[in-house]
Amino acid sequence: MVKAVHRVKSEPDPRLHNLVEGIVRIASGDLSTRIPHSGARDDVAAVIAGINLMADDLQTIYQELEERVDSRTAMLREAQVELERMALTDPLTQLANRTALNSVLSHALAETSRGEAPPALLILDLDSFKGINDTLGHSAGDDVLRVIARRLQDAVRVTDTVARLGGDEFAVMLPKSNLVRARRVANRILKALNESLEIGDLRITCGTSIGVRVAEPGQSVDDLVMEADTAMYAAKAQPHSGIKVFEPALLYARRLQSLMVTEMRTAILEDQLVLHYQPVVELATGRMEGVEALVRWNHPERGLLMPDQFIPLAEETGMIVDLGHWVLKTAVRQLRTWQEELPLDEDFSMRVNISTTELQNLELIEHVQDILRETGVDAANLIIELTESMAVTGGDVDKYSLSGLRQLGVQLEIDDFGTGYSSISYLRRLPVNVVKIDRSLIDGLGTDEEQGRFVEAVLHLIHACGLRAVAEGIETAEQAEELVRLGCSSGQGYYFSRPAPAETVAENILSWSAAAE
Amino acid sequence: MTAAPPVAPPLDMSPERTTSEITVTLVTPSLVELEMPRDVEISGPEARRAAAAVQAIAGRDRVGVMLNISGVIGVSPEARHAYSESIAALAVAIVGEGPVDRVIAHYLLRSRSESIPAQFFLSRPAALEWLRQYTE
Repeated sequence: MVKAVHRVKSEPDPRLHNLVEGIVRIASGDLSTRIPHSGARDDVAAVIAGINLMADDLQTIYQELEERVDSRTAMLREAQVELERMALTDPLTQLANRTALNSVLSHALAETSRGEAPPALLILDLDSFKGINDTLGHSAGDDVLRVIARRLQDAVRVTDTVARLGGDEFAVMLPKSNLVRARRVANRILKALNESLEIGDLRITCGTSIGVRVAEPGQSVDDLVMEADTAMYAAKAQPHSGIKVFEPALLYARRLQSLMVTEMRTAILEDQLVLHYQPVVELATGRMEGVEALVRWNHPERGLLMPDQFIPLAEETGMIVDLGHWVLKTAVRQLRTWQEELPLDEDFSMRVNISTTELQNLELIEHVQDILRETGVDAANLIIELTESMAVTGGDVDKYSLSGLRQLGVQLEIDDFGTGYSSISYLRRLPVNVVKIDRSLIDGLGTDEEQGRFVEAVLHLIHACGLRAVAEGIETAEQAEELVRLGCSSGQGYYFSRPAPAETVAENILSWSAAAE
Repeated sequence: MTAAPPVAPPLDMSPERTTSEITVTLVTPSLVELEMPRDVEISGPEARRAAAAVQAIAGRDRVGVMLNISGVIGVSPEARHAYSESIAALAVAIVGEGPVDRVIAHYLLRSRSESIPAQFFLSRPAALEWLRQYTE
């Protein structure tokens, strides 16, 4: 009996072996292992059941962990991809941004150094975008930028990169390119962007200036961008903005220009600007009807600068708005002073030229109103001169400004009539009161009979439209006499007086007035 | 009081589990007894059907549950999940007869919400006695 008990005790329970084996497999990572149950309900069976349940738990926990890690990893990856996309995308237009452009340029330049054809970089700046933003609001401005972005993308290949560099500045990178192809693409873009676009109820034409630079071997990204940018500024400075290919001389011009911009800012602030006034006279009597205000820059080093030496730059940099405000304010104040101090006719007028950029600035009307209110000058004594092209081809904003000025009672005059878009039909539709006949039409007067007949016809046309005519560039008595004979009542030119400082004009007014008495 | 006849149909009709029926009995209007089949592992679908049966019996009320696991081989993770999710119980007494049942019972007890009282008993009368405090 004792022996038998001893034998039973010494016989190992086979379930214990299974248990050890099972635990070893679970420990080594095979969590699907389950230890076979014997059907017994003793403590060993309880341990087996317990281990199996623990393995269940472990397996479930591991599975859940793995699933969670997988899903979190996938989320992280998606977030990373989105972040990268955002970091390289312009949020407004969904084009590449400056960082993305730099990256593709850097890649393309590296390929160039390995012998591939160089990339070409086109940098574009919209011509009248600031005006659109100022007058129609930023939301309309954003719409314009989105339309432009789409047109740019449509104008290039998918392998080219279109980027928005900020504001209204865009860039196009053409990999493995050359000058011929770059020019072709630039022309295509110019054409696409010159087509008008509809924003709300308005039709806007938003031209562009494009700088083109084909990379040199070994050139850095920064240099390439700077040179394309320089070419773009040169394109903008051209009379009819368009395309300009980079050339080294532009760099010097750009440095000079940036110096000039700083100086001009100082000039406006420190009253280095000065107005000269050219009389407009009644041709038959020589009576001074009014004056045209013409801005000069009394440069501390370069002396008296004429408008053509600084107005284009002011236009280009947007400083023309400040400059225009200054001119308007100074001219109207001067008129007020003369009205108080001199025996002026009631209809003595002050003529002020305004630029396209100013016309597109909604504050123009407000500014004119303010200065008239401040000085007490009658709006009818202010004549605003604008170019033919502004009056004819201007968009809705320009028309808005013009009609606003008319409502104030300000008179509008077309400057340089006969040089641009002259057409018989438009003359009748324009919201202007006076037309100034360009000096080029006056040149041959008095000597060339045919020219006389031509000017006569022009005058008839102007009068037929119910407008008044002023001739400019009158240099001789013959020209003046001929104009009187042809029916032109007013004129200006060196024959009567050159533009002169306010004091000189005041003396002239006084002496004429004395002579008349 | 005589036990009411089983109200739930056989729960598992699959061939290998023909013996694995959980019997659901309404002991009193507020006490349901669930008896697990012996020598099988309780699977998820079975457990879910049992839970549904308890729910059907209890209706809107909650009932005391006596869960007899004597002789079961094991409880699958899915079945444990179904058990932990069932909401109709006021209190659960798990009844078993030895160390295997005790181990299994404590896995079940662990997965249960603490807001429902639950306890393991080695005898049915002791379990009934304990449940009475919740069901009467």
